[in-house]
Amino acid sequence: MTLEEKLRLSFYRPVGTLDKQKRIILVQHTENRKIYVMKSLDIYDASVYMKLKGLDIKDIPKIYEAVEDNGSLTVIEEYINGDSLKDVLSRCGTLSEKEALGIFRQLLDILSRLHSLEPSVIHRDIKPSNVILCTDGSIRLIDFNAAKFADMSKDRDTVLIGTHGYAAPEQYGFAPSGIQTDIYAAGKLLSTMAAGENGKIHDRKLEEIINKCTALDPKDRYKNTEAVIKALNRSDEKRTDWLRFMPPGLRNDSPVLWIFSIILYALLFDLCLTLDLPYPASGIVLYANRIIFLLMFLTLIFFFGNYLNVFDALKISKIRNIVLRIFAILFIGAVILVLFMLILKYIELRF
Amino acid sequence: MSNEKTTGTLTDILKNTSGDKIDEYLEENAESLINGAKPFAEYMRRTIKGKGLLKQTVFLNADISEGYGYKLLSEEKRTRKRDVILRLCIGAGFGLKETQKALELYKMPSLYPKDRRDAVIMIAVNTGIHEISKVNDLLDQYGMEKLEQASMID
Repeated sequence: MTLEEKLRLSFYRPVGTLDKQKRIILVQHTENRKIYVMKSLDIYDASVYMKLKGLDIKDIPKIYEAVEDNGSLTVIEEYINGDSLKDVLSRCGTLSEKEALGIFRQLLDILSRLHSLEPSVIHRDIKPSNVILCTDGSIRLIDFNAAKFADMSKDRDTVLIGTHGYAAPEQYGFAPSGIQTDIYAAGKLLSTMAAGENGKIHDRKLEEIINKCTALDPKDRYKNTEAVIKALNRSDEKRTDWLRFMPPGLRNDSPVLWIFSIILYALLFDLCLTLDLPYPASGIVLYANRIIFLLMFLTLIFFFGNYLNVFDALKISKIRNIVLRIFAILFIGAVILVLFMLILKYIELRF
Repeated sequence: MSNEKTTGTLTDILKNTSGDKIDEYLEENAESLINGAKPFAEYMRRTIKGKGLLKQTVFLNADISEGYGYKLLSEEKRTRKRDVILRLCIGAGFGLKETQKALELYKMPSLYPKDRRDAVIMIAVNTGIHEISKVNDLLDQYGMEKLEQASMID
């Protein structure tokens, strides 16, 4: 290394060890007093670190120095603090589908930035311990020791590196690693987050996406991260479309609630369509009353259940004060009740 | 460290000091003011004391005779050799910031990273090398002049 590089590195004083075996230590810069991570790597692709050093890619550790000396690479990079996904999963088991997809989407965004470089940078070691969760819910992808530039002209990778369980088949030496290699690992990560290491995915759409990410042949996987994101968006859209038109009580995943709601609706229909009036009435009037009663209850249920987001349309959701909001909802409910009562009274008086 | 007040505190004191109290203020806060009579001497005294070192230890590390050393630190005698001041700083275990400040107060050029010899000295200071012999070894390694010796006739 040059004298200038040696001088720049001399400013970083060790203050702690992160991983003794892997020679990753915590250092502090004597002038700016900030904390960084210093790594000594034997197996590495210096060119990837050099490339990353010059760039400012969001959500990966910033590389401040990458200096070669005697076959070893010394890297000074941003210190990213937080629980790794591995820590979180060992604490909580699995994540909700919403959380898992949230992390998955962010990961795809990061990979998109890496893959769109010229040439693409392939991470090759995506796994829970390399994904850090920050307190604000955002994630960081760390550990670029296995990263390399995509080079599809080669027959296979020259250095076989990766983690069992997340490494795509080609990483074992059958084909060169490319963008699809990261997609494979990302798919495996999503699967682990949602269902554990060997769990089964219940959601059909999610299972489809994971299967397409982790196909054995890279050609059968999604072409790039954009394709995966598109697939995710499509499945999200489809789901919300028909869901919107379902009545209150039938809009959730729980089969118990579903059955309960259907029973209640059935009871309601039964009640309304068989009720008798306190005064004698002919066929049409009787049925008209019954239908209006049913409509009244259904309207109230749909209103209170915010069917088709009626709260937004009536600007109720814009009311900040929760007490005022409840009051407004009850008030409108009462208005609906009164209106229907008036209709019924009118029919009674008229006929 | 010492009684050196931070810049903020001094401003507060200034605000509360009326004209006739200026002398009193100057006397009380002499340690903290840069225009004191002997800023270098004062700085060295304070910093060495703050590190819990004896002046004799510093002279030993710096390989400077005690007699001359005391005169240098009190500014009774002045040297023209920058290396001698560097010896004192290294011997006292100064960090880079402290060394640069000492040089500045002695009206000598600061260590300049683009100067190869200065860069080596900076590396030694940064990595906490306090023995002159080790610093000289490092300079030798890079094919540079060792630190000049101190002598009374300067």
